[in-house]
Amino acid sequence: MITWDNFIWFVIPAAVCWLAGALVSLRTDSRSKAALWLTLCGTLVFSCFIAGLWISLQRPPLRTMGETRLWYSFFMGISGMLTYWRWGYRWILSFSTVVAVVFCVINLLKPEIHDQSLMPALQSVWFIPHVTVYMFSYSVLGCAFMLSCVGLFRHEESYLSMADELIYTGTAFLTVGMLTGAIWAKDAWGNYWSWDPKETWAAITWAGYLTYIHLRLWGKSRPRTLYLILIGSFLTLQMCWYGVNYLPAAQQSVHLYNRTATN
Amino acid sequence: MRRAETIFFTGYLAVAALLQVAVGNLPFRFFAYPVNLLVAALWLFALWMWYKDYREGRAIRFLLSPSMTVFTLVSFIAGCMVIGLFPQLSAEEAAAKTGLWGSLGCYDFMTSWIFVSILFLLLTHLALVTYRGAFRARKFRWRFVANHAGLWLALFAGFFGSADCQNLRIPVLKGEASSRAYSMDGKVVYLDYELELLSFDADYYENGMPRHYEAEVRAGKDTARLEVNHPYSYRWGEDIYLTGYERKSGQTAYCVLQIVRQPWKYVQLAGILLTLIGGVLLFVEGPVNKKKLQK
Repeated sequence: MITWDNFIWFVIPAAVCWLAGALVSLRTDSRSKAALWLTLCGTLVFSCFIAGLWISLQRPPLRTMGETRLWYSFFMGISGMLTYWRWGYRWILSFSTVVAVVFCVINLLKPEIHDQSLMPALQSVWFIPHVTVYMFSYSVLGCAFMLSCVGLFRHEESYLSMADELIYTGTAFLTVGMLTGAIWAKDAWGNYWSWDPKETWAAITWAGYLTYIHLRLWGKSRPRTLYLILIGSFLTLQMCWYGVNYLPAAQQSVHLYNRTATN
Repeated sequence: MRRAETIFFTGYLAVAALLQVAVGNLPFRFFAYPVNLLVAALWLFALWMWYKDYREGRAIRFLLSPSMTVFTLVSFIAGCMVIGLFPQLSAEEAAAKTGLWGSLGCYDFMTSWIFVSILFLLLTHLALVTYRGAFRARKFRWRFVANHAGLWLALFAGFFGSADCQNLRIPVLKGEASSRAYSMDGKVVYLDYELELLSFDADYYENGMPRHYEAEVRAGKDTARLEVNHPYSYRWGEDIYLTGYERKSGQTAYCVLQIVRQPWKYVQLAGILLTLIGGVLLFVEGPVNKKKLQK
């Protein structure tokens, strides 16, 4: 049975593969097949842990913060690899590796609750598509965030066309995640949308990326403004994902699943 | 034009803020059926006539301009931030709040004049943009229509339908039929049918958390099986939910049911589904760039 106690034995080989892939890609001028294979290997090792945990928990590991971080690391590996495969940026694998490993380390140091129980509200067919689609979009938008930081720092416009590809993909998944969430919310609580803090921050994040898309179509904004919008939107995304848990305004939120239910 | 735009945007928000300070939150219950239907029909008809006759005019061009898109999106974000940062209270609690934030309606911002005005402008802009885009033959047209018409429908139904929404709670007991429900602000509302608990079943995890619970309920002449995530559709626009239960000495004392009346929910769902299609197309077709447009 695979449990959280075994996590480190999956993280070490996965991180070694990811790191090796990142180093190879940094040292090769053209797109390196070895780097792609190494990253893929790391992600496969990591996915074995997720699959094992899923089986031993007897439910999908998607409920606690620690479990969503698991998916984030996993999708970071995948979207970093896809970005590298598609555009061949040498440094992207290093970034995705650092982020994926940081999230693994957080999980090792602060595992939070990983118990087996799944409250009735989360027992729904929408649970898996809603959370995994969101986690995938977060990772893609994470890549776009890194790209914007580099673009802003280097004062270069050329990163925007690649950011566009990532933003369209990320926003598409964000849309699907949000709307599957709305349909689920109707079944669970009676409203498609109830302006709960988590929902509100999801809307802010979504509208932020929509602003970027529309400004790009308009074509009159300076690259600096566009990079700043992407950075700002990614910050509101953090607010939506876990920031609301610490927000005084959100203590009544229905979206806090880490509390132990009393009845 | 730039200056005129700035004046309009500032003026629009200032008037909304002044209204809010002067008269408090929008009395949105006034817009319950049939007023909402009438207002929506008049508004859409006026927009359509205006667009048809004056589409080259300055006002319509301004309402359709990219700066309007950016203004409505940015002010929508700002409005959402107020909702996301200020604790949102009940209408009475919010009305009792004094000070600058209280008088601007920040503690019950969803029905404040400021946020309603922002949404109204967003809906107006989105309606015009969608209408224009739908009749323009160009690449990405269907993606454009799915995304914009879908979002418009969902927002429109949420906006105009909110006054018709009713959210009631009713405790139901075994062998005791009841039609006495309570609204969220504690007022008694009598249903036109009776509810009665027929049976209840729950099982638990080792830590005492419920794993699963379900109730069998008589609703009028129907028998309904209720579970979390599985409401029962009683009639057009009205659903019954199982929200909680109370146990005393190992026996189930009563269940709490929630009655949700939302006659506009079908329009909302249509909008959501259309936007979902738009979202998928956003991924499949990718960004708009010059290379693709030349194909």
